[in-house]
Amino acid sequence: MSGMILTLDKVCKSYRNFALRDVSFTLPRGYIMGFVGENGAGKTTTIRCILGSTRTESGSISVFGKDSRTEPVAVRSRIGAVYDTLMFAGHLRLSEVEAHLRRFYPEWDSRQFRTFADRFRLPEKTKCGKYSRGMQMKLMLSAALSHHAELLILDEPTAGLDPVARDELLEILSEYIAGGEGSVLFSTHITADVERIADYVTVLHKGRVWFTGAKDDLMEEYAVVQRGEPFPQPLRDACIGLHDTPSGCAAILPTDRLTELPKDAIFEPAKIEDLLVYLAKGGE
Amino acid sequence: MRSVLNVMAMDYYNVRRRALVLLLLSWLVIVPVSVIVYPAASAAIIPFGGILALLPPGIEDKNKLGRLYETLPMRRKDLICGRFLALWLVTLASSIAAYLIGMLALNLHVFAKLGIGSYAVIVRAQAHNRTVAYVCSRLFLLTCLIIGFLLLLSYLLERHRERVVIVTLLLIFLGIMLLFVPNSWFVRLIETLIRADNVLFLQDVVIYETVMYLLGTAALVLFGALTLVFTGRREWK
Repeated sequence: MSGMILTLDKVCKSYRNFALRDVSFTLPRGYIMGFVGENGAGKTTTIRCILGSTRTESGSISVFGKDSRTEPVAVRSRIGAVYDTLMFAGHLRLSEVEAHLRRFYPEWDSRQFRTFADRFRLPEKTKCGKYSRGMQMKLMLSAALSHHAELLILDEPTAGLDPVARDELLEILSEYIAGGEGSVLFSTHITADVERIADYVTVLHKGRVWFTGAKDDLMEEYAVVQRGEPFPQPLRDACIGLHDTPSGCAAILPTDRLTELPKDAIFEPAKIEDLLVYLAKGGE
Repeated sequence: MRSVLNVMAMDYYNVRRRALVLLLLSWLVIVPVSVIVYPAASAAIIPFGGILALLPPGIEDKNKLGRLYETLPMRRKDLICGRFLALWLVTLASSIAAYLIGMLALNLHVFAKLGIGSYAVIVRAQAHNRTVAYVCSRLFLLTCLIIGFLLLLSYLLERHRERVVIVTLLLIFLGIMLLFVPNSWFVRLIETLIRADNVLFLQDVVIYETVMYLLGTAALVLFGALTLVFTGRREWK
């Protein structure tokens, strides 16, 4: 497991109305993992467990070979995190944000921060609370990339961004992993971004890992199937998110069961978005 | 310790503008009063200094900074220690500043220059009794007790910080009510404290002041320790 930058093994965490159950996945060094799931699936809770800011009930989490629960300071100093909303006090200006953060990171690189700030055209004099949503994301990204983080954790960073800003973000992430040393855990609802950039995908559903592995494997393992008539009973049991449509019924089916499909059924490779939608419609 | 200092620096950047406004406003009123009217009034800047330590939790709530804190390489206990240490430092610094302003006011003899004879008598009395130092040390203790307790309360009620004001007002109301109950334990406690205060002050002024500063510091250590015990292992909000 030496090539793994992040390993979660059977992590459990319960809240009153929600529980993460046996969450396990690994992220190799130098790759991007898309972390997807419906609202409330447990993505942010998992991220908080990785950061060591939430206590888990069982299981283990290894980041850079260290346990983030017992060594949060050492682990977090090598992680850059970007959330969906501004993480800094809104009245701070660019230089104050830097002054704010640089003391915490022994590896802080002011020149790098300035380079990103110039590249993203972040205004020096404006309070960061007044930045546009895209600018705020770029500011958080500049901060996350300025201490030579080995793992970037992004929690819904593209939410509310226009396509141009999303494209820029994905470009930066591609540059970041090009060196082969950094990895990215990229939680998002916008599955098109994951399909475009991720090497691995972990699908979280109702607090459990539904799939984890290479993105291509996921897309090869499942297909969207449709038929004007109901599916035969043995196949119905294998269907995920089977539901009626105006033209009959539709579901997700593992590709190894496609040979059992009646001849009048049609199928196409499943996209990640299809999987999420069908899972939400009743898959377990 | 490095993380604790980092927290203090971070809070400084977060509050410095508001702190400057608060300090300027309080000093603009208090310093002239101290110089022209009553030298020991300079001690009023001490609680204003202490109040500065309550600004970071407010800014944390407003900006939802818990999300930032959980990503920074620090522990929750560093944040709590940093905030109590900052409270002690600003209160001590305000106390020293208040003492210096008060002594300066005493030595400027503005009252005499303005021809206010009765004030000149007060000034002489104050110089004799070390009133400025006495008031400063006493307000240092009170500020540590009150602001330290409020800081503890703000962590205990972290998820409902708006309730801190309500709880504080209820406690004050309860305290006042208890004062009206004859021979209650609360009245006896207050009387004992006042007696001890007088005895100590009459014995030796320097020892009295030292005890006040030590008690204030001990109160903050106690409140800080209680905050750590009750909230140190909580998850970030």
